[in-house]
Amino acid sequence: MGLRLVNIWYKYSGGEWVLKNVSINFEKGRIYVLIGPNAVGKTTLLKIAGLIYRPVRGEVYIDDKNFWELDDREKSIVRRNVVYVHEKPVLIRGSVLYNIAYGFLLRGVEKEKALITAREYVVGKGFEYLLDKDSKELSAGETQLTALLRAFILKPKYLLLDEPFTNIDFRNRKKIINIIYELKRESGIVIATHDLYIAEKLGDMIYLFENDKVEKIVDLREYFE
Amino acid sequence: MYEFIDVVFRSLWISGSATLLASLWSIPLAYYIAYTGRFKNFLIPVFDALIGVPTILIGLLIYMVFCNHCILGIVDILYTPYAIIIGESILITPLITTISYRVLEKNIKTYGELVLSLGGSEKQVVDTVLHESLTGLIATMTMGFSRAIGELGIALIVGGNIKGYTRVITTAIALLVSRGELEEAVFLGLILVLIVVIISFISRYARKIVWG
Repeated sequence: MGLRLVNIWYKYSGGEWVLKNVSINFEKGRIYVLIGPNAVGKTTLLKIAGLIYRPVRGEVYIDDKNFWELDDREKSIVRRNVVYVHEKPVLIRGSVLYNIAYGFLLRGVEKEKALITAREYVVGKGFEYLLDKDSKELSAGETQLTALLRAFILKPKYLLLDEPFTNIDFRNRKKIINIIYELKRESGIVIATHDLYIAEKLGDMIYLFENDKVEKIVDLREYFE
Repeated sequence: MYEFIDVVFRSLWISGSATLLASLWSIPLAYYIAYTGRFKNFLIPVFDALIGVPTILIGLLIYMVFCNHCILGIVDILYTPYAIIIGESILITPLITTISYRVLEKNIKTYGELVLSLGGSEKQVVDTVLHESLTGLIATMTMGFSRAIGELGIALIVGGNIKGYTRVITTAIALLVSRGELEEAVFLGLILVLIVVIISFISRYARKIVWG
């Protein structure tokens, strides 16, 4: 069970190998933190784990199903278990509320019900001031918050967050960390970050990641010292 | 005056039809190239080059396809508005395809990943990309329409400038100039410019209605 990446190789068209024979497992109930230098393929790995990119070689298993061998219908169903939040989040046109409800709409939930659920969720988490803003008017931090809330509300089995705290102020950071802890009960969460404070605070498992190896770090301070 | 109004309305429906027809195949083609990446290094530069092709040349080619003893002569549409529609739709196909491609290529990457990252299906990727690209596609179609309504060569060669039947604004201007009736020609020319400007404003307004 879990989200397993096995012997993954990946390169962009015409480029060098970004990932070389990388394997890693993610399970529910844990927070995994990936740290590593720039441009070593952390985002690419998350997009492969997020079932967005197909690896050139290797397999992606989600709850023991080899994802890229499933038919289109099964893929659509299995995809709903994994949600990825980009480091530069993209919002669709419309209000923040509509954006946060968008994942429900993609899952076929009736629009009115999706909007009501989204509003209740956002108010419950203390972000009501965002709700009626238009996505075009948001600051970078608000955009990132909206994208995170849009992912959190879906409560996926596996949640992949790429640099989720880059633009978020300390107050909201605390709220987001609390939501991540809540979600951990039901989800496996993977966070790629350069922020060692976040890594140490949130990570049950911390991995140092490079193109061709994933190394588990037992004690972050000891490692850097 | 009645003749002027008749010419203006004919120009509008002929060029409007040509724009819709060209969009019917150009936008799906642009989506296919942008989504799959196939043939993009060949087709996009070729279409880029064809944007500036002289309208008289396309008119000649259409004539050579639809003339009496030509390959599609049996269809018998030469010197009808339909021949102009076909010619103009071919004329603006490269323009609509390349600009739509640029709009869609960026959005497929951006919104395609977004939809998949939220657990959406491939079909929902298409829906979202087209939805988010709508304003860009409307602007592209407006440009296509402006190019179509302002062309002369095709309308002259395959339309024949027949009064009350295939005469459009540009062919009417050419006729008026050849007769030395410059004032009327300038008046029609101003109407042509006015139409293009009004259509552009309507398009902007439509985009605002769509997205606020």
